[in-house]
Parts: sequence; structure tokens; C-alpha cells
Amino acid sequence: MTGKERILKVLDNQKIDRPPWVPFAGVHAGNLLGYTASEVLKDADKLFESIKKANEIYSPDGQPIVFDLQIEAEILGCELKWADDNPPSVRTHPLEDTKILPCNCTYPKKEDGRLPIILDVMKRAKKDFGDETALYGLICGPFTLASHLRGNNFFMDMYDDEEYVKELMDYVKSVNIEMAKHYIDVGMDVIAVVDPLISQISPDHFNQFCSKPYEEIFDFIRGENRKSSFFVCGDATKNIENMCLTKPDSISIDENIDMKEAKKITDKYNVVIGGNIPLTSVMLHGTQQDNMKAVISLIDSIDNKENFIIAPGCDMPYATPAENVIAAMQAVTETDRIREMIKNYESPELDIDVEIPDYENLDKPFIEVFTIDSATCAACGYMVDAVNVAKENFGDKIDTIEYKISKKENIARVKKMGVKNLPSIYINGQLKYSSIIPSRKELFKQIENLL
Amino acid sequence: MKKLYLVTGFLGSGKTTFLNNIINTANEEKIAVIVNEFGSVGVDGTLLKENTVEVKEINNGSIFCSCKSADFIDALKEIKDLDFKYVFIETSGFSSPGNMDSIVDTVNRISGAEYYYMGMITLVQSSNFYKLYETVNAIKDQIIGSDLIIINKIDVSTQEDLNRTLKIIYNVNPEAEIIYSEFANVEFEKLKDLSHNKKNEEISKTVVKDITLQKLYFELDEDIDLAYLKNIIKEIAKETYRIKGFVHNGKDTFYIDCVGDDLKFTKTKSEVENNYIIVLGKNLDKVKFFLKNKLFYLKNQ
Repeated sequence: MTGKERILKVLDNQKIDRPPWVPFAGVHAGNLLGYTASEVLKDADKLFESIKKANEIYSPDGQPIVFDLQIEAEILGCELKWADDNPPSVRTHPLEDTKILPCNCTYPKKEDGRLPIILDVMKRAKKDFGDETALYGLICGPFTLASHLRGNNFFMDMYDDEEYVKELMDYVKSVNIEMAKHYIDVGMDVIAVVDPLISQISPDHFNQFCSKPYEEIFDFIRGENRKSSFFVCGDATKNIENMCLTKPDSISIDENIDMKEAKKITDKYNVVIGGNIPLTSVMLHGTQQDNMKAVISLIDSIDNKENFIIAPGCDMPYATPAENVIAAMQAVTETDRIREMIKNYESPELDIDVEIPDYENLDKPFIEVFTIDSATCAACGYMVDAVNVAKENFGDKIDTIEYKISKKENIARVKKMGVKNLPSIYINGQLKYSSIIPSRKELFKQIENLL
Repeated sequence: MKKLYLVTGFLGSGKTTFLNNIINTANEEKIAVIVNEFGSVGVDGTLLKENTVEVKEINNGSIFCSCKSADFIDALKEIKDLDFKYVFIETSGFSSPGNMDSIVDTVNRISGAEYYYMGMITLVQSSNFYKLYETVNAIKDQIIGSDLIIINKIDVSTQEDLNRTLKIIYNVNPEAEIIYSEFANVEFEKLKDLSHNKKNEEISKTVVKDITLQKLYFELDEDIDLAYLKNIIKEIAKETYRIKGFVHNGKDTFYIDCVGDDLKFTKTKSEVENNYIIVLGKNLDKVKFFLKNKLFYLKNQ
């Protein structure tokens, strides 16, 4: 069975020989050949070489061609800030001060933005390894895209102007469908809709604003005889059921969600679930055995081994050691042998001591934000923004700090403090906000109570 | 090998007229023209329809291709085997031109075509140029990326406007060739040997959109009075970038075209189902309100 067959079969809810393996090698693929993130996202040849390399050494059953949620945003006028080891981030929001509905003549066309590069590489990949490997085309989900366009005000709009939110969601849904069309045209097998900000909203809001657009997108993909996937980041547990109801063929989750519990829900709806190898603590900072152990634990924790794909929680960090990814792959393809091999392996303790502040005796309120990386994780970015707004307002009356777990000592801190979900806000050592971004009003109130 | 030219320029600068002239002065040469502006009046006076890619053969065998909703990449693929040696692509006045070398490479690779990028031509109208240069981001990119700049409507430009325009152009693109014209009457022979300097460092390499541009579509009463309509358009013209439309007065059909305070009603053979105008601009709430009050029916597109 080829990898592609394995993926298409599992997404058809058929029984297969083993769970498929889909490594999300985005900008990380560039690192394999010494290219920076920017280079690999702007140059067709470099991108193709990189994903071809990833295909060779990671033996994927399925593989995304490019992992960059800013492609659409860039086309629609958002300015991007580029980095060497991360996909770009959105810096400006064209609809921030102008609440209008863009004209449908602005839907992305094949010659817009970086689409010529991406479509070219998709075609080449299809020709080169598209018979054996299922190819994933990723599009930025409607909710995240709408917030790229409208900025932070979008969250306020959900309360102040529900009509506008619905109309804007309808517009971005159409943008998504156009993007799906372009990718389907060049042969992508699976269209994945990646929407990190879904974890930020309540089930009620999901139903009100997201259910319909999502259903339409997945219906469209199904109508074109392709498979679909719904990717989320962060603790979106409360929305898993609603996500299933929009009828994607599969869902992909990260380490913030308990795979075993989530699968109980997805199995009910016959939706395939994928994930959720921890990106930073295991893939980036762990050893090869750590990665093998994580995958084996994952597989062993699942009772019903059908309708299940093994993947990293999200786009792998740029500097992830290749041998870690290969180790994870081996644990998927040779599970029994690897299980035996590492049965006595104990993960070494992180030998970093971090000092926890004396929360009882602080001079001023201390806000600590724990993030994956605010430059790359959308929800993390908004969480940090919310705290920065508070800092601007209260000035010297409060202290604030961000701990990114891409730094090893911060992983130690996360462990010591028992932080369960990222991003999180702690005030004076107490968990106040987990995954959900507080409104300005709420956060200010919390701070004022302490002053 | 087919030679490819990009034609850009703001609304009302004369792109369509220019393309008409190219086709009419091409003589024996076979030309293809790809336009994408909705509501453009076609070469033979008929209204371009909203199809995906509509290809027509006209005049001496030139090919006229409209692709409002499709990509021009798709259009280039579709016509690659037809009989023509030169293709002109008209882009929207609001697009920043992308890196055409890369786009043409992609087209050739994806479709097996043999297009060769000759260069970019921008049409400019002095009377509104310096104002637009400040407000519409794409215009700077168009000027920087151009190999030939045609300063059109010279007959209605003041010396002051012209000087201001030239100053801006020399500042950002001193190497561009500049031609003056009335009614975009540039002949095809002038363009055959346009050469393209690969100097794309300063312009954004990708085509991006300005989604804050608004497009309002209003249906008008069947028996609307022409004089009344003219007055209304004159009143809102300054708040808009452009107004286009069609109106039938029982006897004749007129094509409405207004750029700034330059309003024209031109008799046309086109047949239209209903009278309408399209208003393009930014921050059009007041205009919207005003027109709705005058019993113009705003339709969703």
C-alpha cells in the first residue's frame, strides 16, 4: 500500500494496516538544506528541493506542500513581517479602521501574491512523488483570516456588530473556496483548513459565526471529490463536536487537547482524528527516544485504532532535529520493534532550575504570559497583545513578562508551575486565562482589583 | 514564441482605448488582448460579459479575451495555441504588478507555453495623477515597474499638472521611456521593440489587492431622466474614483463614464437588460446614502 492509498483509505473510514504518518514539515524542510524560512517561502526551487528532501527522509504517507497561514492575508493587503526561522507574521490589518465588505473581485487569483510559486511547486511535487504520497494543500481558515483582515477589533465585532461578522465570514469563506479551487486544480489530494483561532471562541460563537461557512467549505471540497481536514491549535476541546458537525473528513489537533478524549467524539461522527505529538518539549527539545516514546504512548492510548492519523501537533519548529522526526516515523512504521527497543527508557530530567517569584510579597501585580511563540502562534500573539495593552494602560504600576517555551528554561518553568495549556495568563502566580484571550475590560478589572 | 506585454494604469487613464488602438494599428500582425475590467466596452462596442474566459476573434484575426473572474494565468493557458504573436494583458488599476518574470516563468512551466515578457506599459492621466499617487499604493509600483509610461489625455492637461507628473516619474523611474498622447493614440509599431529592464528590487514582488476599495452597484429606474442622472453623478463624482454604467432613454443606449469631474455619456450599440451605474472608490458611505435617497437601488454583487 502506498502512503497515498493509506491516507485516502483512512479518510474514507476504511481499515488499513497501520495509522498513517503525516509530518508537517513547513519551514523546517528548508532547514534540512540550510535555507531560511523566508528563502523557502519565497523561492519555488528552494521550496521544491526542501519538500522533496523531507519526502525522502521522512517517508510520509501524506505531506503538506507549504505551511504558511499568511498567503491569503498577504494577497488581501496585510503587510507581513518576515523571519529566518518562522513563517511570516501579519503586521497590518486593512480593515482595522474601515468596516466594509470587500468586493468579490478581490478573491485571490492564480497570479496573486505567492500563489504562482506555490502552484508551481505543487505541480512539481505532484509529478515527482504525488503517486506515492498524499499531498496536502493548506489554506488559512476563515476565522483566522477574518481576524488578519480586521485585527483585534474582530473580537469586539462579535459582540457589537454580529451582522458584520457574518458578512465578513461569508466573504472569507468565498476566499477559502477560491484557494481550495486553485490547489485542487494542481492536484492536491487533501485540502486542510487551518484555523488556529477557533480555540479562542465559545461553542455558541462557533455555531453563530463559523458553522455555516465551514460546512460550505467542506461541502465544496467534497463536491470536487477531494478529502478535507480541519486543523486547530490550542485547547479547542469544547469545539470539537461542533467542528465534527461541519463535516470535514478529518480533524488535526495539538498537544493542548487530550487525543483519547477527543477521539471519543470524532469516532461518534466517523471523523478521522490526527495529531498530536508535542512540538516543543518533544520534537524540538527531546531526544530521539523521547519522540519514539511519545508516538508509542499515543498509539497505545487509543483503544479503537481506526480513523486515526499520527502527526505533529502543528507545523514543526524550524530547528527540529531531523533525527527526532525520523525517530517518530520509525515508531509509526515499526511500532512493535520500537516499543520493545525503548521499553526501559526514561526521559532525562530537564536539568534547569528556575526561580519562581515570591508571589506573596510582590511590589506590584505581576502578569506572566506563557506562550508557544507569539511570533508564530496566532492565539499566542493576541494573548501577548492583550497584556501589552494592559501594560500601556497601567504603565509602571504592573510588571509583565512573556515566557516562550521555545526556550528550554521556560519549559522547566512551565513544568514547575504546572501550566497545562498554552497560551495562558497567570497573574501573581494564579492561572487566570487558559487559551481564551481576555477582553480588555476583563483584564483591566482583574488588575484594578489588585492595585 | 509569443511576446507578452503588461498594460496598467489607473481607472480612466485610457487602457481600453489604448488596446483598441493597438489592435487597429497592428496591420498584419496577430495580436491577443486580455482584459479584465468589468463593464469595459469591448473593441466592437459590445459590453464584455462576465464569463470566465471569453475569447473572440475580431478585426483582422486578433484575439480578444475577457477574464473578469478568471485568472489571467488561466487565460494565457487557454489561448497559448491560438495564432498570435503578441499578447497584451490589461490589469486592474488597483493591482500592484507582480514579478512578471516569475509569473511568466510559471505559466510557461505549468502549461508548456512559450511566452516571453517584453515589458510593462503604464498609462497616466496628469490631471489626477499626483493625487492618486498619494492615495493608491499600487500606482507607485506601476510607475517603478514600467518600461514605458504613456502620459495620456494630454489635450486636457495643464502644464502645471504635467510638470508635477513628470517630476514624480523621474524621481522613481528615471529610465522609463515616456510618450505623450491624446486618446491613447499610440501605434503598435512603437511597442514592438519595447525592452524590459530587470530592475524589480524596489517594487513588491507580488500582486496584492486593496480590499478597502469599494464597488457599489446601483440599478436605475427604466425611465430615469438623463439630465437628472447627469446632475446626480456630477454631485458625487468628486467623492469617487470612477463611475461607470449604462442607461437607455427609450431611444438610445448610453455608456456612462466618469473619472473625477470628467463625465461622458457616449452612445453605444450595446444592449443592456437594465439601467445601472457602478461606483468605485473608498469611504463611500455618504455616497451610498445619497444615492439610495435618490431612489437608486443598491444591489448586492
